[in-house]
Amino acid sequence: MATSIYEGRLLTGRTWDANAAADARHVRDIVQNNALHWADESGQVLVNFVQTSLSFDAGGGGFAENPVEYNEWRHVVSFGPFPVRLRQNGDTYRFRIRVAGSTPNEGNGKIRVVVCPQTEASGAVQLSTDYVFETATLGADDPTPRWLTGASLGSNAWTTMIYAPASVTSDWLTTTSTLTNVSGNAVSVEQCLVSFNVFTYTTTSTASDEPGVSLDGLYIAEYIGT
Amino acid sequence: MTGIVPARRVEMTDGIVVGGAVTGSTWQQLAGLTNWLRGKGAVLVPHCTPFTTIAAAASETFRFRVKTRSSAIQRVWVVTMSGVGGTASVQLQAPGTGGTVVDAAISDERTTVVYVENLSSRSGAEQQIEFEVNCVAGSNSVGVSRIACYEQDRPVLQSDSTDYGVDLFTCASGQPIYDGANVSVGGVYDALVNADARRVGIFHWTQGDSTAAATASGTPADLLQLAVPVLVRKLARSATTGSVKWAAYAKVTAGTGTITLTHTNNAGTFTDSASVTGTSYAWTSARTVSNFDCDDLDVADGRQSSTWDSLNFQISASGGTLTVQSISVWQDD
Repeated sequence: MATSIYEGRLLTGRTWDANAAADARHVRDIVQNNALHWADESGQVLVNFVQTSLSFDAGGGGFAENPVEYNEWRHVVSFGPFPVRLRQNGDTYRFRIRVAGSTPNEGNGKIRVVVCPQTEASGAVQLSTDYVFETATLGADDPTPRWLTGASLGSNAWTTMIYAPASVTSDWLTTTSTLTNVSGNAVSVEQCLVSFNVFTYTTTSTASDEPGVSLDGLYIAEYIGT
Repeated sequence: MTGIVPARRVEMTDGIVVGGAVTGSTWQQLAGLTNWLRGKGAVLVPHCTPFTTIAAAASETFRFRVKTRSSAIQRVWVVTMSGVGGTASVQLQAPGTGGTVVDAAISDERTTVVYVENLSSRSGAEQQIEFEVNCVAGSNSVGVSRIACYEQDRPVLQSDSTDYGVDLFTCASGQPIYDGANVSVGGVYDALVNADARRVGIFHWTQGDSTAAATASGTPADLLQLAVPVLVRKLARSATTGSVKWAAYAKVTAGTGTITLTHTNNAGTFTDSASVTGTSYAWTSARTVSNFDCDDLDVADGRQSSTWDSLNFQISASGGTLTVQSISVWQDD
C-alpha cells in the first residue's frame, strides 16, 4: 500500500522562493508526499519473457529439464542476479509474479520460483515461505503454454506476490565495486543481490530425451505492496 | 560535497505538523530519500530470452531501445550462454563498437556472465543500448539464452545539476536553512523537481540478426505465444492509466512491413501499428501508447482488477519480407 498521503504526485504552481519560509503544509503535501510516491512507484520490472511463437522461434522454446530423477525439485533456470530494492526495515519490495508453463510430454508436474541468491536456491526451494511461489499442478500431455495459478508458500499465501523478509535479506547483503562518477574513483556499494530461481517437479519419468515440465513465461516486477 | 545514497529506502519517521516547524531530521530524511530515488539504479532490460546460437567466427549484436536515466555511470549486463557440444570461446563487448572487449570461456552448462559497461558520460536520452557476442574462430558455437541489463546503484551522487545529490549534513538539525544548490532545503526541492525514479524497461524481445523473425505473409501473426503482463507506474493522484513507448528494429526486402502492438485490458483490446519501409535495419520511430493500467495503490498487488493488462505483437508484410530483430517497450515519464 502507498506510504504517501495522496497516492499520487501533486503539482503546485508555487516556485521555491529563497526569501520565503517553507510552510509545513506545503512541505507535507507536496515535498514529502511526492518523494514518498516516487519511492512507492520506483519498483522495476526484473523478468518479462514468454516463448516466441513457434513459427518465429530461433530454436529455444521454454526452459525444461529431462526428469530422469522424478519426484524431486530440479533446478531449471535462474534469472538474475539483480540488486533489488529494500525497505528501511530490510524487507524487499513485494514482487508481482506470474508463471507460464506446459507439459510437452507424458510427465505431469508443477513449478516453483524461489527468490534468493542462486547459491542458496537448492535448499530454499524446500521451504514453506513467502519467498517461494508454487504453481498449480499441470496434467500430463498439456503442451500448450498458458499462465498458471499458484501461491506463495508462507503464511501470506499470496496468489500474485512473493517477497523476502529482512530476516533473510540481512544474510544476502554484499558489497559491489563501482565508481564515484564517470571515470571516478573506485568505491563500493551495498546491495541485496538475488536471483529468481526456477525449479520443476514431475511425478513421472519421461523418455531420456524428453523434457518434463516447461517454463514458458515468467513476469516478476517490484511493487511496494502491502 | 557529494550526496550520500542510503542502501535502503528511507522512511519518514517524524510527522509534519501543520502550523509547526519542519524539523531538521525530516529534511535530512527527505534528502536521503531523494538521493535514494536517483541513486538506486533502474532496470533497462528485464530478462529476455533470445535463444540465439552463434557459430564460430560469427558475432551477434543484441539491441535494445530505452530512455536511460541521467544519473547512471555504469550499465550491468547479465547474460547467460552455453557452449554447443563443449566449451565455447567468446568475446563480449558493450557497446558493440568501442566497448571493452572481454574474453570468456563458456562451458556447455549454462554460464552467466556479469559484464560492467563503464559509460563515458551521463545521459538521459532515448537511445539504443547494445551487447555484442563474438564467437571466436575455431570455437564451438555458443547459445545465448538470457539477457538483462540494469543501471548500477550509486553510493554517492555528484553535487551538480545532473545528479542533484544533496549533502545530507546541510539538512541536519542546527544547520542554517537556505536555498542553495545541492544543499539544505533548496537542494531537496531541486532534487525532487528533477527526480527520475522511472520504471524504465517494461518488455524487450530480441533474437539478434541471424535468427530474427521474418514473414512474407500479409496475414498478421502473433510474435509471442502468450501476451506478456504490463503494469505501468502511477503518476498523478487520480490516474488509472499510463503510457509506454515502443519501437522495433526491423527492415523489409521490398514493400511495407507492419508491426502491431496489441494491448488487452479490462476495457477491451487496443492496437497500435508501425510501418517499416527501409531495406536496412533501423529503429522505427518511438510510438506512444496510452491506456495501460497503472498501479492501484489501494490494492495489495497493485492490479486494478483480477485481469492482467497484457500485450503481444503481430507482424505481417506486403510486397516483400519483413524481418524483425528487436522490439522494445519502455516508460519515459
